[in-house]
Amino acid sequence: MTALLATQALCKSFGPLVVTDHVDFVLWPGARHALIGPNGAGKTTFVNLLTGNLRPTSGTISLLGEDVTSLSFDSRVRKGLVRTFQINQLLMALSVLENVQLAVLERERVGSRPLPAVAVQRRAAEEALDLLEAFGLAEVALDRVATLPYGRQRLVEVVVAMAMRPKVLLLDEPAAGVPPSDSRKMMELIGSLPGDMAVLIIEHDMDLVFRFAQEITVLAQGAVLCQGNPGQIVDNPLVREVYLGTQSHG
Amino acid sequence: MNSSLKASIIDAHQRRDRLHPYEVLPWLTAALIFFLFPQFLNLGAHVLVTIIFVLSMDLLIGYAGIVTLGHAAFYGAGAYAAGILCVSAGINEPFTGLAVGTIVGGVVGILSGLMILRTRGLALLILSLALLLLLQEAANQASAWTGGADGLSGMSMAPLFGKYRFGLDGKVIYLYSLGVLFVCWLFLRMLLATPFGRSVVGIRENAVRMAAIGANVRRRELAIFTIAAAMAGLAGALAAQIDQFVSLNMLSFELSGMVLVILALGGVSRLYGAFLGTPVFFIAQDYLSKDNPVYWNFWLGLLLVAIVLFARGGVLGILARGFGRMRLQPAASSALSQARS
Repeated sequence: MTALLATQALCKSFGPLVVTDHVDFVLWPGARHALIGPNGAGKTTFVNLLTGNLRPTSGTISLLGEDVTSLSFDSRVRKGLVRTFQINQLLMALSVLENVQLAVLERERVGSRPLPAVAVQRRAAEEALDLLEAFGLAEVALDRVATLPYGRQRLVEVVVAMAMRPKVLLLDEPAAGVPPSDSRKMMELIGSLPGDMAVLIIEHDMDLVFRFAQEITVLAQGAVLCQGNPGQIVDNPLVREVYLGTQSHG
Repeated sequence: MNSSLKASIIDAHQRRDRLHPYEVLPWLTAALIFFLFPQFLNLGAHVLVTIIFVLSMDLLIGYAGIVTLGHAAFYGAGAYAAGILCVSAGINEPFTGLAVGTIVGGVVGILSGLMILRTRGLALLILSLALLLLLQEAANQASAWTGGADGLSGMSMAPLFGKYRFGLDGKVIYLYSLGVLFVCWLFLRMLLATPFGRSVVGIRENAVRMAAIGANVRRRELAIFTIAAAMAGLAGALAAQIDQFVSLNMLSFELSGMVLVILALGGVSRLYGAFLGTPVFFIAQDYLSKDNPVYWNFWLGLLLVAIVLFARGGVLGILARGFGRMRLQPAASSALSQARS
């Protein structure tokens, strides 16, 4: 089995500050992997390196066995590496439906077509509406995203990513800012991701992490502190010290 | 949710791109002016040409979200291309001149786009202005071709379709300009509804999001920038032909600024903002300068301040708010309220 996503000795420093320190990381097909660590551990930087939003100082990143270290963010997306953002990145003035429809069109590689494509656009809108319906968002399909409460926008952010049918999906704190009323829906959404998709989640909500993850990597000061299944992580004294403190979670 | 309800949601979504009955209004007005006000046809032709130029600017500012001050560069390039083609090369067939002006505008557009689209915001604004001033000075220096500060005169256009002469009554230039505007409008109407056109709007809304769904943002921006530049070049070539004269003013910062003012007056990102703003600007200019030929800019400035403070979206914005409630079609809104219950 080849790894879907792998890094070797990945490093990133801003001046003298090392934020990613020789990280070796592998994501297998079907993985349900969580990345945790205290604030400032370099989780978001690491994700930005994986996606190409940032360039590493040294080390390599490979996607489906191919070295993508020098590829741009959008070309990695076209190869199947899709992410969501910690802070929503949506097309606020457009409808919920069109946010998802545009993702379908880009996935189908027709997003740059400068000729009328009414039938193609209609099919994409239908697929988008089906997806929205599956997650209880069909009734707001025609509303502008800006009019939705933040928690629901958060769901749209994940639905847009799903519409891309990624091979690897990186979820950057999907539950951040989601009120309890919508967080069950978010869990459902994340739980319903296809089994062969590799999913990496960065999350502070330990309930979500332990419910979702089969594998956990703990990052501290830019380096991998330890990695294992949830049981091993909870029992690891190092993790308790740097991350969980004296409280016990899970 | 049943399938007919879904279909009506999709229909409501797709309906945005269809033609609305009110879209006949500008053309009806243009036809009425032709028959009722023959004394205004020369002015009318200039209004029509300016609308094309403003439309091309709206494509950049309103749809792609790229704010520049250098858009006159492409207008002027198209104008000089058509002028030099006629005066120096002796090719005076109007449509050939339009084609050459469009191509030259597009080529200047792609070259400057490659430079300035690497930047954003204020840097882009200043770079676009710098390129415009460079081009203006180049045109000033190349006086053997351009006539320099005296302008390029001596253009004499061949009859349109080999038949209709550019007479003094303005009939031919009016209909010529109207025809070109109509083709440009049709093209934009089509382009903005395509996946490419919608993705450009997506980039305006959030470039990070568009990259995150796999769009090559830089390439799309360059494409729309080139299209807008080509259309500005077309407008410049048309202006040169109907005036049979090209001046350095067509490459000026003031002209870029005027187009921005017109867009603010009419309404940005609405296509019809150009159709409303341009005549409002010309009429205001005419009316205000009659009163005071030196300080009429003061009143125009005051009008602009009022619009920006109290009526964002320009004249069209005011109209849209009035008719806003009629926007959502009855079928779709009832379908949705049914879905919500």
